[in-house]
This record gives sequence, C-alpha cells and structure tokens, in this order.
Amino acid sequence: MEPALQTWDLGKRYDRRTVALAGLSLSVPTGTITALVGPNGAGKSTLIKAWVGFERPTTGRVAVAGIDPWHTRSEALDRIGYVPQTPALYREFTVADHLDLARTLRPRFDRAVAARRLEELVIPLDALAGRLSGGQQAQVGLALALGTRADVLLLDEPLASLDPLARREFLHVLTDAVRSDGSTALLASHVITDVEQACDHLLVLGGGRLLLDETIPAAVAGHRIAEPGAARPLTDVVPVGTFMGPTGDPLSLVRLVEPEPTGLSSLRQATLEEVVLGYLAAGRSVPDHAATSVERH
Amino acid sequence: MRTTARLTFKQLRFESVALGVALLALAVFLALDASRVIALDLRACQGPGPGPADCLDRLRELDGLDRQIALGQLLAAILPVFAALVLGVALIGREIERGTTTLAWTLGRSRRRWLLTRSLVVAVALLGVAMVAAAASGFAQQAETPTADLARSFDRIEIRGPLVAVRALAAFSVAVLAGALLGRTLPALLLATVAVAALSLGVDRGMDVWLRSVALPMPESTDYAADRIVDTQWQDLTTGHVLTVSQYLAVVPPAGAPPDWQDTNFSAIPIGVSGSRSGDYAAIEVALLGGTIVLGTIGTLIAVERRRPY
Repeated sequence: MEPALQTWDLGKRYDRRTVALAGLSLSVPTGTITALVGPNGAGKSTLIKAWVGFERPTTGRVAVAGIDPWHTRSEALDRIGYVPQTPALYREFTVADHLDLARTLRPRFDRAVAARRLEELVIPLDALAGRLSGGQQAQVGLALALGTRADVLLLDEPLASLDPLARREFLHVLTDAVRSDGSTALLASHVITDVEQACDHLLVLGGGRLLLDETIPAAVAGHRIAEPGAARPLTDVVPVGTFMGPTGDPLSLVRLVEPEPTGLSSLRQATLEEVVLGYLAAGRSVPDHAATSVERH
Repeated sequence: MRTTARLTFKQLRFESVALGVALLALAVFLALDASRVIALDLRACQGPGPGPADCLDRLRELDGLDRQIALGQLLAAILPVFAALVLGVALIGREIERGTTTLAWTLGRSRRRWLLTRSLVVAVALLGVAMVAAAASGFAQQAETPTADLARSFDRIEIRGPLVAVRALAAFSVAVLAGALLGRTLPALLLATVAVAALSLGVDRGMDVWLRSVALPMPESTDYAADRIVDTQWQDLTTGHVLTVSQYLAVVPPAGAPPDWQDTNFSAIPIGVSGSRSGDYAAIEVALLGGTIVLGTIGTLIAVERRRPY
C-alpha cells in the first residue's frame, strides 16, 4: 500500500543561515496515527506545511498519497485535513458559519459529521468563534478537518495551548475518528504522554533531520536506560544519547541490537519519553554538516 | 454563491455598512438638492419680461445649491474609490494578517476560486452603490443645467456617470492586489492609495494626450462647458497666420504700446474637442481602467497562488 505521506531528500532553507530541514527522507504508513516529535525549531511545522503546499521544498520533494502538493495542489488538498497550531477561525463567524464556509469551499465537506461531533462536545453552533475557549476553538478546527473526510489529517501541535482536560478530549475525538474512518493522522506534539496515549507510530525530528522512525511499541521495547553508576554491558547495545534525568543525574539511552539480549541486568526498560529524550540529546550533539544515522525499522 | 456573499459581508460588515450608508446618504443628499433646484423653476426668470419678483432670491439660492452640489459630486466621485480601497485591502490582506487564510486555503481546493468568488461579490456590491452615487451626481447636474445634453458633454464628466463606478472597480482591483502582496492591512492600504493616485494621474495624462491628439480649432464653439477646450491659438486678422500661445505672447503687446493698448489684430481660436465625442472619451478611459482591472486581477491570482497564507 502506498504510504500516506512521503518525503525524499527533503530540504528547506529559508535564508543562508536558516536551514529548517535537511535531506529528510521518510514515509508515514497509511492507517496509522503517527506522532511527530521534536524540539522547537526541529522543522516539524515546516515539514507539515510542505505537505499542505504552504512551503516549497528547496531540495527534494514531498507527496501526499503519492501526489506532489506543490505542483498539483488541489488534488493533494482534496486528501488533506489540516489543523494548525493556532486555530485559524474567523472570530466574527459563528461555529455554524464555519461549517457553511467549509461546505462552500469543499463540496464534499460532511457538515452533519462535523456538527454532530461539536454537539457531542457541547459546543453551540450559534456561538461566535472569537468567544470560544482555546480548547473549544481547537475542537472546532478538528471538526472542520474531520468533516472534510480527508484521507490524511495533519495536526501541527494543536495541543500546545490546551489544558490537560481539553487535550484528553481532543485526542479522544481524533483517535475515535481516525480509527472509525480508517484514515491516517500525523500529530506534531511536544507532550509525550499525549503521543503515547493516541499514537502508534513515532517520528523524532531534530535539527531538521530524522532521528527515529519506529512504531511506539518497538521504540519502547528496543531501548534501555543506563542509570548512573550502572555497569556497562559488554555487548548487544548501541549508545544513543545522554540526557538529564528527573533528579538531575545523567541517564544514557541505549539501543538493543538483539531482540532478546542477555546480560543486561544493569539496564532498565526505557519509557517512551526517555526514548525521545535520548534521541533528541543525540540529535543536539550531531554537527549540522554531519549525516545523521536514522534508525528505521 | 449566496453563502459566500453572506459570509464575505459578515467579515466586512463594519466597512460595508459604514461606506454603504455614507454613499447612499450622499445620493439622497444630491437628489434632494436636485429637487430643490428643480423647484426653483428658474426658467420663469430666464424668459422675456421681468419674470417673478423673487428671481434674485431664487438665483441666490441656486448659487448656494450649486456649491453644495459641486461638493456632493466631488464626494460621489471620491467615496466609491475610498470604499474600494478599504474593502479591497480587507478582502485578502486582512485575512492573511489574521491568519484565517490558513483555514480557507486548506479547506478549499482552489485558491483561485476562493479569490474570484469573494472578489466578485464585493465588486458587484461596490459597482451597485457607486452607480447609485454616480446617477445621483448626474441627476443633480442635469437639474442645474436642464437644457444640457449630458450624454454629449464633457462638463464634469469625471465625477458623474459610469466613469465613477469603473474608477472604483479599478481602485478595488489595485487594493486587492496590494493586500495579496503585502498581507498586512495598513501597509497595503497605504500602497494601494499611492498606486491609485499614480494610476489616476497616469490615466488623466493619457486622456489629455488623447484629447490633444483629436483636438481641432473650434472657432464656432460657444459651449465651453460641453466642449473640452485644450488649447488656444491666435489668428492674425490681417495676414491670416495662426500663432501658438507662446508665439502670440512674444509679439503682443508690441514694444512701446501704451498701458491701455487693446489687441484688435488677433482673434482667439479655441482648440478643443466637441462634446459629441465625450462618449469616445468615456469609452477610452473605461478601456484603460478595464485593462488595469484585468492586470490587477491576474496579478492577484498569481500572488495568491504563490504566496504563503501567513
């Protein structure tokens, strides 16, 4: 099956000094909810905007369901539902106006589905968008994206400004919709607990490069943490990166080479957050000009 | 289309209501002034014989109304252009500034369709209101000069009739382009204002060139309002030679002429264009402005297709 989202040697340079993405090749499997994780400036938004057709690649190319969004934008957009970091709602419009607008812009827009989701969340359709809370605005943005019945949902850190309850509700609606529609979602987020709750695939981006591309269960199962003072195992592990633990001590993430290693009693199971932190630490220590080795499974 | 129109005007409701009310109020003001001029019944004072006793008062009142109508006509020419600038800049520039194009350009498959439907809705409304203002302006002028054939007259042609509406549409096209290029309301408004002023000067200059190219000596012209006089030449009555203004001023008054010297050797010949060609004038200006509208629209389409929504 063709991947829902792909990039080939994607590079994006804004000016001489600002390189957002460099040589990025990846694919997002169809039917997954994939987390796109990385620090600020890692290139997450740029990558998503390249798929939406807002940013033109400097090098390489991107595709949505095999379609280049820069050269055949309308066909690519037909397959995309997009939720930006800040809900781009018209503050003088009611929620119902937004649904009407979506219907005029995209004839296939399923107004009933979007309206039902909003009613389930007790968001009044006659409320002005400008008077909704941040969480409600994010839900309206998500309902609009889901109403498109698009094959691919691109969510650019929509949870960033939401409180925990609103985040939980948002993720519940997202996972419920994606699982029932059989669509694909890419969720950029900083919050690892949210990712763990909602996603089944993980992409870690750092410095414009791909650091990890793996399913979440495999990412957790395939890594261990070396606590301070732990004996170093002799074989079967590859050091990934060292980061500061909750107590301020350095923790080292290692990758298992063998699926069923032996003699690793000095290492403990890594959490998803530790896996991400280990790779982000590794990405930070890699010089810009050096090629980053990407763990792909 | 009805939903698009409703939502577009909901977005622009403050500008639309304020400018629409101002233009319609101006039209009513001009129509009322025109009806007051008609009520003066000045023909009764123009015939042979002494006429009614209050003719002097009526003429004084006409003088006051004339000034009001001239001001109203000026506003009727300027306000549609101002409305076009404000609405045109807001149509896309403000959307980009607020970030809502991110939503519109991902929900919709075609930015081109999004732009054209919204622009069409506002342009039609603008055209309608500008036509009402222009018609009121023409009506008031006709009331002042009941015997004039305004369809064959250059008299105040720039501030009445279809040119008012077409100028507004050209300004709208420029303002939409400025908004699409800059994506910021205030800078786009400033840029569009400067561009429209330059365009206006350029069109006026172009029309002046055309007028001069078709101007003819009009020794018989007695209607300086209806005809457009662009120059004056001077004919030497003894030799028949015709002199330009500079040539004439070089020889008149002759050296050593007394202070009370009067020119009896030369006759002034107005060079101009008959009012019957005012339709050609309007058609050429409409074509120039129409070209601007087409170029502005193409430019906006390119800008919208290529730019980021933020």
